[in-house]
Amino acid sequence: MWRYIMRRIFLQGIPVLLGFSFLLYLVITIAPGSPVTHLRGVPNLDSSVIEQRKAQLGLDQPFIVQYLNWLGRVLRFDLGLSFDSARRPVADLIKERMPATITLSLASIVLGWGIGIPIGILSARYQYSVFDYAITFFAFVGISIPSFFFGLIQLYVFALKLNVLPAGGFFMAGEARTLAGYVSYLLLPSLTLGLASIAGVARYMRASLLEVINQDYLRTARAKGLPERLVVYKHALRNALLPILTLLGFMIPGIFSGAVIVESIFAWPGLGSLAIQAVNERNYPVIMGIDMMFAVLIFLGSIVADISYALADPRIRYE
Amino acid sequence: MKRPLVVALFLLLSLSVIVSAADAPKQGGTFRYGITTNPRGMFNPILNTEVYDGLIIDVVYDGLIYIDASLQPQPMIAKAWDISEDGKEITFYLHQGIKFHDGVELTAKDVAYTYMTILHPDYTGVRYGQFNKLVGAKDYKEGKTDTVPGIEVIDDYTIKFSVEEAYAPLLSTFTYGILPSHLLEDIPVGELEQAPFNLHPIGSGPFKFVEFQTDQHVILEANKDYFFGAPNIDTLVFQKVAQDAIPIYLQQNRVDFIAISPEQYEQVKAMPGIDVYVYEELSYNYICFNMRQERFADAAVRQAITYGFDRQTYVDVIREGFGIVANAPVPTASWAFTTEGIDTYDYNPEKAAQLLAEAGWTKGPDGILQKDGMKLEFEFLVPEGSRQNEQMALLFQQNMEDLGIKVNLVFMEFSAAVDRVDARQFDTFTMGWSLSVDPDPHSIWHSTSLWNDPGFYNEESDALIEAGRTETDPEKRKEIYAEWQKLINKELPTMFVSYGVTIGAINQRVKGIDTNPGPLGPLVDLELLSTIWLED
Amino acid sequence: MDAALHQEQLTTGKKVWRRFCRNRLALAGLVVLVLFVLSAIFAPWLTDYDPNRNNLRDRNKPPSREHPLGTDDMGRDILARTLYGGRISLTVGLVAVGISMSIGLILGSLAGFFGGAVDTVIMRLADIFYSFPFLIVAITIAAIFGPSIYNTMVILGILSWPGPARLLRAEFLKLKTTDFVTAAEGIGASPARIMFRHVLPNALSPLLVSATLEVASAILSEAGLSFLGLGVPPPAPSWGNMLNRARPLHILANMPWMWLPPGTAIFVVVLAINFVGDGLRDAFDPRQDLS
Repeated sequence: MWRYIMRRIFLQGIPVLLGFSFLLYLVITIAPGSPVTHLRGVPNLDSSVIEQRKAQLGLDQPFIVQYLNWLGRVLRFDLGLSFDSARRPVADLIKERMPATITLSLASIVLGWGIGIPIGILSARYQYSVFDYAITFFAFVGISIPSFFFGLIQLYVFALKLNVLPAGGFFMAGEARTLAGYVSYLLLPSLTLGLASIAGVARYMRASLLEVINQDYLRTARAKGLPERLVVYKHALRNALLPILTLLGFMIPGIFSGAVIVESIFAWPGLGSLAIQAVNERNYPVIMGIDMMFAVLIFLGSIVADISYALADPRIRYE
Repeated sequence: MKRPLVVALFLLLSLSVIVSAADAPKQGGTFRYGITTNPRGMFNPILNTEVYDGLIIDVVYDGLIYIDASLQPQPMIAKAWDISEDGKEITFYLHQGIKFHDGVELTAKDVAYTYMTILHPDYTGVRYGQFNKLVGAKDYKEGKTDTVPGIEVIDDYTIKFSVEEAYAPLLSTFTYGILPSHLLEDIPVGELEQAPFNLHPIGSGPFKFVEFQTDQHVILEANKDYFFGAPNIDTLVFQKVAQDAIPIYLQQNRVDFIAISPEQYEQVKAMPGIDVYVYEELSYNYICFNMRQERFADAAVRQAITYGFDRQTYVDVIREGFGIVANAPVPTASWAFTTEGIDTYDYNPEKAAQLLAEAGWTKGPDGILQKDGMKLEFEFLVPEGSRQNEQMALLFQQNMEDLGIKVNLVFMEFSAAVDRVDARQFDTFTMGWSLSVDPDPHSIWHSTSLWNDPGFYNEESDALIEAGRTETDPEKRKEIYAEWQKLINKELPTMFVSYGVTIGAINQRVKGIDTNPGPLGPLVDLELLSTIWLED
Repeated sequence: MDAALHQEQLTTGKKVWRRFCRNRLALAGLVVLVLFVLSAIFAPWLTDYDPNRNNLRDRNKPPSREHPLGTDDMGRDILARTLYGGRISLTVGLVAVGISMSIGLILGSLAGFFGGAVDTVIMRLADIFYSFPFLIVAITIAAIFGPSIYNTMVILGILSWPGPARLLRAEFLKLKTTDFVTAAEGIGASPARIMFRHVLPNALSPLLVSATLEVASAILSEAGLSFLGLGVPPPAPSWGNMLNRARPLHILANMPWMWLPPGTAIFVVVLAINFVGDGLRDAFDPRQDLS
C-alpha cells in the first residue's frame, strides 16, 4: 500500500501536475487581455512605464521562458509575486484566504455526507415507501436549484426578511469569535454549497445500497436466516459505501468550484474572490498558484478515494 | 436624471444637518464604511493604483494640499503657497509641528523625499508622467544626474518646485500623501514596492492604521494628536460586503455608509433609519467610433448616430434616472463644465435619417444603408458583466436598426476588450472614463496621447489643449476649455452618453456628514472627518 | 446468428420498456420532458413575441393579458424568453453530456478493458482534466473565444468526461472478477466478446444514473457560468441567464414573475430528467426481474 501511494505520487502525480501546469500556463498566456490593463487611463502615463512594467513582470519574454522561470521558482517553493500593484507574495495571498475556503468546504462536506448517507440508507431500506419518495423528491429538489439562486433566496429570507442571520462575511471588525458566531456566519454559505452534495450523496447511497442488497451473497445471508436489519447494516453497507467513497473524490473539485460562486454571494473571505479577480486581471502567478494548489488537493483527494476504496473492498489490491 | 427629486433630497438633508448641528458632537464610536472590493494592501500613496487602497491612503496620509468639495485646492500640510508670475515656480510653506503617527515631525525633507522618489530611475509606480515637467526631472530619471533642480528644499518648512514651462494642472497634483522619509530612505527605490511599510503605513493623517484583514476589513483608529484636530469618532472601519447583499448590510446596521446601485435605490430608500443621497461624479461613459475607418471619418455619420440613439431613455430607464445625458467630455461636476454653444443632440431619428441621406447614404436591397460599397453595418464591442452596458447595447442596436444601420453586438470580457481597443481592432465600443480633478484633457484627447482610442487627430483641438495647459489664469483656462468642448461637441469623435452619479446610503446615526460632498466622495474632505460624529 | 442477436436485443428492449412503464414517476418525467422539448421546438408557434425585442415602455410588468408571464427589465416577454430559453438550455445540457459521455464511454471502456499501459495513460489524462479547476478553466476559455453557446457546451462537455470514464472503468474492474465473466471465459467465449456483450450492458446502469445527473448538472452549470457572466451571452435567453437577471434583492422580493418561470423550468426539467434516469436505471437492471 505504501509503495502504491509513493508510486502514485511520484510516477503519476508529478507528471500530471507538470502537464497540467504547462497547459494552464499556455492557456492563460495566449488568452487575450494583459496583466497591465489596469494602467489604462492613468493620467499622463508615459508609454515607457507600460514597457517597464511589462519587463518587470517578465512579460517581454517568450512563453516558454516565462513558464520555465515560473516552474523554477515553484520548485524552490516560491510561487512568485502577484502582478497587481501591491506585488505581494502569492503564497501570502493564498495563505490568508486558505483557512476560510477550507472551513467552508469542510462544513459543506460534513453537511453533505452527514445528512446524505443516513437518508440514502433509509431510503433504500424502505424502497418505494412514502419516506423513500419524500427523500427522493427532496434530493431532486436539492440538485435542481442553481446554487447561486438558492443562496440568494436564503439571504433574502433569513437575513433580509427574518433578520436572524448576517448578510455574509466572516465576523465584523471587533466582533467576539464565539461558537454561535461561527455557526451564524457559516450556516448559509455551507448549506448553499452543501445542498447539492446532500442530495447527490443520498441518491448515490440509495442506488448503491439497492444494487448490493439484491446481490447473491446477501440472498444467501438472508437464506441463512439472518435478520434483514443485520443483512443491510452489516453486509450490504460495507459494499455499498464503496462507490460513495469514490464519490467523495469526485465531489471535491465540484465543491471547490462551487465555493467560488458561494463565496462571491456571501462575501466569504476565501480564495474564490481572489481567483475571479486574478483571472479578470490576468494575474498569472496568482492564477497559477491557486490552480496548482487546487490541482494538488484534488489529486490528493483522488488518492485518498482510491485507498479507501481498497481498504473497504478486499477484492481490490494495489501493488 | 430626475432633477427635482434630487434637489428636494439635498434640501431635506441639508436641513437635517442644520438642525442636528445644534447638538454638541458626541465623541467615540465606530464608523463603518462599506466597500465591495478588497484593497490590495498597497497603502503607499506613490505606488498605489487601486481606488480602494486609495481610500485608506486618503485618511492615513495628508498631502501638501487637498481638493475640496468644489474641486478647489486648499491648504493642508502646506499652510500657504506662492505661484510665481510666470507660473513656473510654486513655493509651499509648511505648518510647523505636524507629526507622523510615530511622533517624528514632518518637514520639507519628507516632501522632497516623496516627490524625488517618483522621479527616481528605479521607481516602479505610475506617477512619473505627472511630474516629468519639473526642471531636471528627465535627466534624473535617465540617471544622468543625482539631483533635481526643480525640487528645492529652502528650509525645514519651505520647499520650492519649478517647471520648465508653465503647467496649469501642476498644483492639483500636489495632493499625494507625504511619506515619512526617516522610515523609507534607506530602502532602495527599486525595492520600495516590497517594503513591509506598505502593509503597515505610517502617515500624518487623521487616522492611524491598525489592521488589514484580507477580504474582510481594514481597521483604523483616530489620531488623537492630529494636527488639524482629532476626529470625533474613535474607529474607522472599511468593511468588505457582497454587492448583492448591500441592502441587508444597511438594514442590519453593519455599515454606516456605502455606495449602492440604481437598482437598490428604491429598496434602500424605503428603509427606516437610512438616508440616500446622490452626487455627481467626474466620470462619463461613451460609445467610441473608430475614425480610422472611412465610414466613421465623416462627422455627419457620427452626428447622425448620436441623434439616432435615445440617450435620454437610456438615462431615465436603464440607469433609472441616475445619470445625466452627456454631450462633451467635461462632466457637470467639473469647474470647466459648460452648456454654452453645446449641441444637445436630442433624440431625433428623422434628423438622423436626413443627415445620413445628405451624406449620401442610401438603403440597399437588404435594408442596410450603404454608400460607395461601404455598409453601415458594424460591430459594437461591449465589456461583459455590466447589466447597464448590456441593456444599453440592446437599446442602441434597436435604435440603429430603425435607421437602417446594422449593429452586431460583441460581448467580451473586459481585459480582452481592452486588448482589442489597444490594437485598434474595433468598429465601435463602449466604456467609461473616470477623470482627474483638473480638467486638462491631454491624456485622452491629444493626437499624441496613449488613450486617444477614436483616432481623433485635429490640429485645432491639439492647439487648444496645449493652450489650456500653459494658461495659468483660471478664467482664461475656462474659456479655452469651453472653446475646446464646442469643437469636440461638433466633431463627436465618440458619442458621449452620460455623466455618472454615485448613490450613497448612510445611516441616520451618522451626524455632521456633508450631504453634498462633491465628486470626490464624503471622506475626502478634511473638515468632514473632524465633524462626523455618531449618535448612540 | 445475426437474426438471433437481433431477436435478443429486441426482447431486451421490450423488457426494459415494460419495466420502465411500471415506474409511474419515470413515465411522468418522460411526458414532462417531451412536453418541454416540444414547446422549445415549437416556440415560434406558441408565442408571437420576439424574445429579444425590447420595449422599454413595458418593462417590469406583472403578468397580464398581453404578456401572460409578464415582462423583464427590458420589457421583453417572459413567456417568449422562457420558451426560447428552453431551446438553449436543453441543447446546452444535452450536447454537453453527449460530448462528455461519448469521450468518457470510449476512454473508460478502453482503460477498463485493456488495463495496463492503456489504462495508465488514459487515467493520467483523466487526472489532468480532472484536476482542472472547472470554473477557472471555463473562465479562461470563455475569455479566449468569447462567451458563446457553443463554447459553453464544449467547456461543460470536455471538462466532465473523466467522471463517466472513471465510473465505467471502475465497473469494468468490478465485473471482471465476478463469477459470470469467469464462467463465460470457462466455456470459451473470447474476452472482447465477453466484455462488450456482457460487461458493457451491465456497466450501463451506473453510467445512466450518472448521465442523468450530468444533464441536470450541465443545465445548472450553465446557470452558474451565467452568474459569473460567462454563460450564454446576452441578448439570447437561457434559463440560467434569465435567473441571473433576477439577482437584485428587490426583484427577488417584488417581481417573482421574472425568476419563477425560468426557475420553475430548470427545476421541473431537471426533476423530470432525474426521474427518467432513475426509471431507466431500474428498467435496465436485469436483476429486477429475478427478485
